Amino acid sequence: MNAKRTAHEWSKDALFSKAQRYVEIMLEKEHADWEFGFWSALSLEILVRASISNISPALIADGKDWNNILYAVGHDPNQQKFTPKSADISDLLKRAENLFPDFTREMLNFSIAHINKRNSELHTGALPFDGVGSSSWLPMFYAVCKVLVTSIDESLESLLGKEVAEEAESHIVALKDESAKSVKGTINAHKTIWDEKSEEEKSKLSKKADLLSTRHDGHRVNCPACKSIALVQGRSVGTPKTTVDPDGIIEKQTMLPASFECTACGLKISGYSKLVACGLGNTYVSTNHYDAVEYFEIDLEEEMRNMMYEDNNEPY
Amino acid sequence: MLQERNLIENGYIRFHSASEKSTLEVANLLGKVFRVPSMPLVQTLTPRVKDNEPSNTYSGNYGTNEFPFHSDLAHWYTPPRYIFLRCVVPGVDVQTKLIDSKNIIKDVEPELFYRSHFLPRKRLDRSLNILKVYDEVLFRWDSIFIQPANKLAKELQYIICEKLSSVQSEAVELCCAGDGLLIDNWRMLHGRSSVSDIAMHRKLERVYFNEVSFER
Repeated sequence: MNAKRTAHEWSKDALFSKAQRYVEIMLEKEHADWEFGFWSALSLEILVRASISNISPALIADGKDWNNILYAVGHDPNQQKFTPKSADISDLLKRAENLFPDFTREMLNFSIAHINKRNSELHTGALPFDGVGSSSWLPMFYAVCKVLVTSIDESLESLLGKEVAEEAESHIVALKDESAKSVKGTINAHKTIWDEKSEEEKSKLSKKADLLSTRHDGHRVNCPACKSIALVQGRSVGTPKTTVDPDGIIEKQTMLPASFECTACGLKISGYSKLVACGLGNTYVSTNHYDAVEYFEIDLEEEMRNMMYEDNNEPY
Repeated sequence: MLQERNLIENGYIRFHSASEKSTLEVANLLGKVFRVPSMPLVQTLTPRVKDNEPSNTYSGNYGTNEFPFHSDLAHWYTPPRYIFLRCVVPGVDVQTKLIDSKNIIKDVEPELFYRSHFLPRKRLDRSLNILKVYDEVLFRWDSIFIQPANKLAKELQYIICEKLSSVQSEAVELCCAGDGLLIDNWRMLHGRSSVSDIAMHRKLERVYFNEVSFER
């Protein structure tokens, strides 16, 4: 490591230190104070930036102007009055969902909503953090922080301090339990309604559900309420594995469950943690078959033209 | 060529070089010299009277009194890894003192290190960065040029100052022209004993390195 006078303002270390600073201010406030929530939103944004920057600072640059990317990789753009601009947090949150397997859709939705409250606080006369019980958002905030600090080889302890980190872990455990309790309640409610249907109706609905739940649209599973065939849909994690066979290209992609729907009893479950809570959280593999031309996007007409009109320094 | 294991064991190596060679010639045998902007490649260190010196230097703060333990350029985000001090003109009874940061780090709650924030006293290149005293890669310390920026840092500052006054230090006297001292600036803190009137002609030269070459 070479000597450096200063750190890049978009470096992981600079951003994580800033997150620590904001969290410190947050933790000085009472949970009921509006500022507790406000500083948590600021901390969250900086932490997201630190996590993505850890992969590359170029990923937090606003790509609309390539000079921002140039700046991110450590070069000063040759432009008068250049002011570096980083990407909007909403774009960065979507990138986080793709970059970090443990950053779930639920976490994305929570983070967007939480940071929107920050925007509302700063740009309007509204009071989005007043009167909001911390128990409604704090466990998820800590869960998101844990995923993000882990991605940069830090810990909740280094962000929050030992005592608060222990408290945060117990909030995270309780969060998982709450999801489990609520989804089981939903499943039981649908099961009760299903059980009250006639055998004829149940059979008809189950057969229809079986026909509608095609592998093309998702992953077929048994509904936990009515046992009919239903679909889980997920998001891809990791890089796809590609193999070649005589018929073409086979691409297998690991999918992390994100939502469930049963067309027989109407049960819908959204969010990975809830799916885990009811036994539907296992990853599955989505398999796609392509022919070589389709996969490699070969333009056959162009290939033919190239063969007929080969470059030749000696025109004839 | 130097033995790496000596540096790993002690955090510094003391050796002698032919006095007729220049410091730069000797330094070039050790590795590629790192140029600090606004300083000459080889800096000359002589005792100075406090009143004559600017406050951005140790002489301007301590004059010929003892220099407190510090690491060089601790206010940089990443200070140079190695300092090479070489005696040009020895000074009677003037010692370079050394403390191994391992003796400071031990028994200190790790949380204090990774959550204490310090800031350079002044902006560098119009920029300010939060600095950590210890991040498991390097240890930095300077009682003037970096300042605590949060409560934990003030607590850590107090602990470090206490330890610096109680921990055993090594004393190295560069008593002949050509005597050299290579210090791991990411691990060792160094200071200087006070300079008496009869040692005012003492002259050392200093260069910095990011890397040095070792005998294999």
